Amino acid sequence: MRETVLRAEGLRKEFGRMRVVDDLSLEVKRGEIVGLLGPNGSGKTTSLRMMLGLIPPDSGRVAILGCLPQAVRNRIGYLPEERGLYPDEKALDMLVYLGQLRGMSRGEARGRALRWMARLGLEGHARSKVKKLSHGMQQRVQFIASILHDPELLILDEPFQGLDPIQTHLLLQILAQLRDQGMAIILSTHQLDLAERICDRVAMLFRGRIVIEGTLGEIRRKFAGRVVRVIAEPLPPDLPGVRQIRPSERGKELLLEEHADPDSILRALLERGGRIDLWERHALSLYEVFHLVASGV
Amino acid sequence: MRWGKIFLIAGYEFFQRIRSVSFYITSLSPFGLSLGMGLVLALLVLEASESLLLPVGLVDHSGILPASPMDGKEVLVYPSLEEARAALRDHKVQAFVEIPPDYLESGRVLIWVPGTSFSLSLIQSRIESFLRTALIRDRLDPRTARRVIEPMDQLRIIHIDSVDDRGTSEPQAGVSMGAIEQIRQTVRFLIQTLVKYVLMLIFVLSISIAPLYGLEDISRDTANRIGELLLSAVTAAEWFAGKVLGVFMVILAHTLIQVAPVLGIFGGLSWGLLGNPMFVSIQEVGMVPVYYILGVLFYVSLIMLVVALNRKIVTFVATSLSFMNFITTIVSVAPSSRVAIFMSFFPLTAPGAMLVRGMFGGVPLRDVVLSLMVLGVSLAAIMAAGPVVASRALIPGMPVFSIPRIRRRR
Repeated sequence: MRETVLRAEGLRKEFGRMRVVDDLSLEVKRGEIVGLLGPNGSGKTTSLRMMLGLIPPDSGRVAILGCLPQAVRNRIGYLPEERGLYPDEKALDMLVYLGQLRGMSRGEARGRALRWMARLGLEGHARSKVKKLSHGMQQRVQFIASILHDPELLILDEPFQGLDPIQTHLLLQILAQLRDQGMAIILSTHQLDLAERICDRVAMLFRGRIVIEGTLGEIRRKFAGRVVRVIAEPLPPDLPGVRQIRPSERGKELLLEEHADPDSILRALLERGGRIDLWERHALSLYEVFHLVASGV
Repeated sequence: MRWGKIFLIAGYEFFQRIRSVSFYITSLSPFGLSLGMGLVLALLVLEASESLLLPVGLVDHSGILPASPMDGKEVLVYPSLEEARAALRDHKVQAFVEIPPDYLESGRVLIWVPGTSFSLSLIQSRIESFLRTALIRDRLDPRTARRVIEPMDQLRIIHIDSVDDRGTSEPQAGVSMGAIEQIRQTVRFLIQTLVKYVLMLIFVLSISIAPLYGLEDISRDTANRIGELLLSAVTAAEWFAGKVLGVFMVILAHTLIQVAPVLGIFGGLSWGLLGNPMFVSIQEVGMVPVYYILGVLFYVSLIMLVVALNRKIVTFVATSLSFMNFITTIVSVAPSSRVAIFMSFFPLTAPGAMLVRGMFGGVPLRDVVLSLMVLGVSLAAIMAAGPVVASRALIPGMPVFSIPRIRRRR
């Protein structure tokens, strides 16, 4: 059984009168990538900051490798959403400094930084000032800063933001490799297609609460059959078990109640007469699940 | 707190700053400015000194001068106004004095000068001495006449704070000594006074720029959005202490760059003229480094706290703090006055006021202890609050203070 690297239990945070995170519990194991998904303002960044010990939760607790996050800072890598570097600093010097802050020696940090820069296509830019680098290059420097000290837990807040498709693909490859080497990774993103490609498990946040959690297969199974595509004439609006009817690319989409049986609904439709040209159970993508959840269904 | 990380942050801040050209421009600009001003002043003095070598003319309408004219190298007597004017136009005299007929009753004297004269006080002094000599000639005994003309040959100044229990004191200047020793004492006094003023300005200015440096430093982290990344690697207290220490090191380097030439120049002058490079005793300025260090640390940490609390007013606060510290230089006029003592116990002015008082007068031990207590407590409070507040300022989107919702009991 794989070791639990991060365990968050019952985290809650309020800013003034607004509850930003509500009773959030999450586990990340070694060699696992967990996606923290959700719309803007759903509490992802605040949750990550609490997990890192940057801000204290109002209630709940966080343990990383069995300790408080503050006690194991050098074993955690972090890529914040609000990214920034000193613009007048050279890229390599910046990385060496950040590596030293994580407990590395100067020589060790320099060696690893140069290797990672080469791997991420930044060779030849070690002596360039940060402000001379393109946005994508700066992103890569930031990513190197988060993994330079070979952390056991890597926390990435919107890591794909601002990357072009080639860089995104490279980052996905590196993340998969780091996972295979045993690193526990938690990433927050709203790019659900990318989360689908890389995450082993996802937790979907909505208004500060985790509304769905599990592997991608579990989530798909949970939502399988909740949406049916239909082309029928007439299509009565009061079919039992149908929560909502909305237009789709082909015909209409029936959004069913949570425990409704699609076969029963089809029978009810047939009993009412008319013509049915299409009746198709739709396998939801993560985006569609997210959309369903975000719309409060 | 891990001191290794604090020194790492401080060292990074320090080296990043001193690598920039602006650091050296800021450090050396006062010298450039002083050099420029000195050059202009020297040219003016040179120009003035040429005319100073000329005698002063005198036209007497009152008849108070003795029958035999008293003219000589310093004063030339002219029989008429026209001749005196001609001499002035021909640059034979630097100025001339006209004594009207009713001089004895009115005391009125006219001085004619060409355009703007830089040496009016010197002309006035010469004429006063000349008139005294003329007025008392053959009317008083020589000893009294000498004292009327020069009431004081020697002047001794004793600071009440420097008198010991036995009532004795070190001579400050003008004690009964030979002429060479008198000159040496005067030169020493001048060097000591001048160097104290120059050092006071450097130290107080260094403390005054501390909030501006501190503001620039913390703004760099907030504006570049790097704070969150740093705080994921070190604690807020380590970050805060490292930043304060880093800025302190920068200001210390800045001060040393300015102090070193001053000590070199005045030490060389003192050594060349007096045979002793120690122009100021360590006892006299012993407290200065203590208040300098406390002052810089206090102002840097205070401004960082202000940045964290309210970024909108911080530039105004930083400028106000700089100004408030700089006005403590007025304490040098009266180091033992009530205002000076009040400023010594007010946290914002205590470092500057005590630094100046330490340089220009003896400071009672009670004042030292009280001011150190005030500064120590203030600094400790800021250092305790600073990390908590500053860490929130570094995390984008975080309110500095979050007030938990008070729930009503049902």
